Amino acid sequence: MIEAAKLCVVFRDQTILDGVSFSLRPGELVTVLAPNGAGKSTLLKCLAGTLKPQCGSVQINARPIEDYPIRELARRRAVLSQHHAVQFPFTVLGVARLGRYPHDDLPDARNQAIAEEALRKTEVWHLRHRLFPTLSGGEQQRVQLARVLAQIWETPGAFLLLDEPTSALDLKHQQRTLDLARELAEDGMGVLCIMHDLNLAALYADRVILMQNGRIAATGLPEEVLRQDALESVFGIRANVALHPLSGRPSIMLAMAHSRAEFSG
Amino acid sequence: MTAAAETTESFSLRVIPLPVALPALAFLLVSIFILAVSMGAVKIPVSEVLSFSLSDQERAILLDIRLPRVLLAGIVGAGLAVAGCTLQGIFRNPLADPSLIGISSGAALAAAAVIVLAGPISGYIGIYALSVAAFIGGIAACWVIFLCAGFSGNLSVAIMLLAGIALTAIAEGATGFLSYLSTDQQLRTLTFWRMGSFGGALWPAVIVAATIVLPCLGLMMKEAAGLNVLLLGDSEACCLGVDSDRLKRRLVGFSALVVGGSVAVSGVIVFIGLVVPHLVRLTISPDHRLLMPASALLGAGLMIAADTAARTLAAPAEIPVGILTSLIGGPFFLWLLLRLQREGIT
Repeated sequence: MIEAAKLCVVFRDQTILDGVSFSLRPGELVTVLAPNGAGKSTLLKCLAGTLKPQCGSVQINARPIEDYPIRELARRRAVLSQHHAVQFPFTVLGVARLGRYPHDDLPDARNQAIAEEALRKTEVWHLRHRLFPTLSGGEQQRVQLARVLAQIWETPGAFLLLDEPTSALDLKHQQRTLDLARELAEDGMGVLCIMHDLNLAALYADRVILMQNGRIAATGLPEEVLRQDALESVFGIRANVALHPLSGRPSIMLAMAHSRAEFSG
Repeated sequence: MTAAAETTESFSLRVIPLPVALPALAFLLVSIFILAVSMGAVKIPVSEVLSFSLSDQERAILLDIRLPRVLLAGIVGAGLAVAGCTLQGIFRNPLADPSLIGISSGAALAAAAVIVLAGPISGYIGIYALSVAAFIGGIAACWVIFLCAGFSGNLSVAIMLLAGIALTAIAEGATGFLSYLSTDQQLRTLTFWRMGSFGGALWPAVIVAATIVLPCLGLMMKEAAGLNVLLLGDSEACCLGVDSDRLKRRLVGFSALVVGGSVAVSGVIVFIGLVVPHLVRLTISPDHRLLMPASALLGAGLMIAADTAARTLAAPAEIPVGILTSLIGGPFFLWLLLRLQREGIT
């Protein structure tokens, strides 16, 4: 389990995280929803161990994250950031292969096979000999996701932290990516997914966390958290919440922010 | 989008199968080496070189003049090429080159200060002292560039090149000022050396360069896999188990040592660190585990070839090899800049 207690991060007099406590258990898919600048990515960096919070602590399996050797940590948790570019002409397979860096004690052929399997999972295996910089944004994102999957391949109990993994994807691949996240959670991984699509989050998440101004505004089951009043106060949007006819999960329908009647009135 | 994609694709000339790349480059280097020692004012036929059936005079020329010079060119070429690979990896920027971003100038300034202010230097201790000074100058320049990059951030091409221009201008100015203070003898040394040349290379220079450059090359190549991961980004590398700050500090230190050692024995030779890694990436692989040894071999080969051209083209006069590499490397650099611009990579 990843447990964060009372994290605060201050950067240039600006409070980015303000006493955030949070946990991620193996076997669950948690989504974090928040407006821009609410501190989602900063939270993810603290959980990943790449940013040290000014106060509070992060523990993985009841051991402080800073006590882990960097390599051991790399075998237990993988992180997909929003930075996908690679300046040099690596092939797609070459990029995915970098995900096996913490496992270089295994035979090369095995690592290669895992990298290829991971590319199949994110449906970019057919591009494996293409040069990464020539791919479209969405393809690059899927290759980076494959790289991250390869890193914790067949490691039950590992943690996967995804920062907007669907931001550049078409609808089909958004769905596939969340199906994949769901599948990994059911295989025993703890998956954290930052995203903007409320409906996808409601449909796939075991738990939803709403953040606002560096704090957690609400957390719980999708139907507990994604309510009309909460959406209005956190996101400043007008929306109706209905029930999804098949899943029974909340389904959010945006309304026009300013109707004509209001304008003329 | 597709147009740009196709352009890049067509520029990938991965025609050389990976397993034969290093043996082929090694063979190329050995061939260039043998040709280089046989060419010059006194021609020594290749067959004689190979069988070592030489007259006393030829033997003296070979052992005391040609061999040290060719070896020195090879060591410096390999060193600058691998330092180029390393800096390009650290800055995630294919245009980083020790001479373009001001490291060579910083090293040259520090070494010039030693030449002018410390009086006459010679022998092993003198060359080592020059190398250490050049290393310190190079490290200082690296430090300025890291400040510009915000240490952990990506360094944009524009900022990097501008910092390089500024550093080069400062170093040139200061070196110019030093030349006012210097004696005639010192001035000749300085001028000759600012243009980059292997003229007058003797065994002590070879020994010093070899003991500084070759161990650093080995240590840099050991970090090749980590350098690959670093290309993903600093925090991405951390998530994959690479201590990126530590790795960068080590690699910058080794690069500055290599550049310092090279500048101390041969002056400022530009563009080798830019041209060689780029050619290898284009034709073989961007994977540093292959890129670094391949660049070392190709860098050594090209540098020996350039130096051989420098001392034979206008014989009996000699062109400083730095001028030759500028004439070839400058247009190459412009081409590269245009290409990157077209692909929107800058």
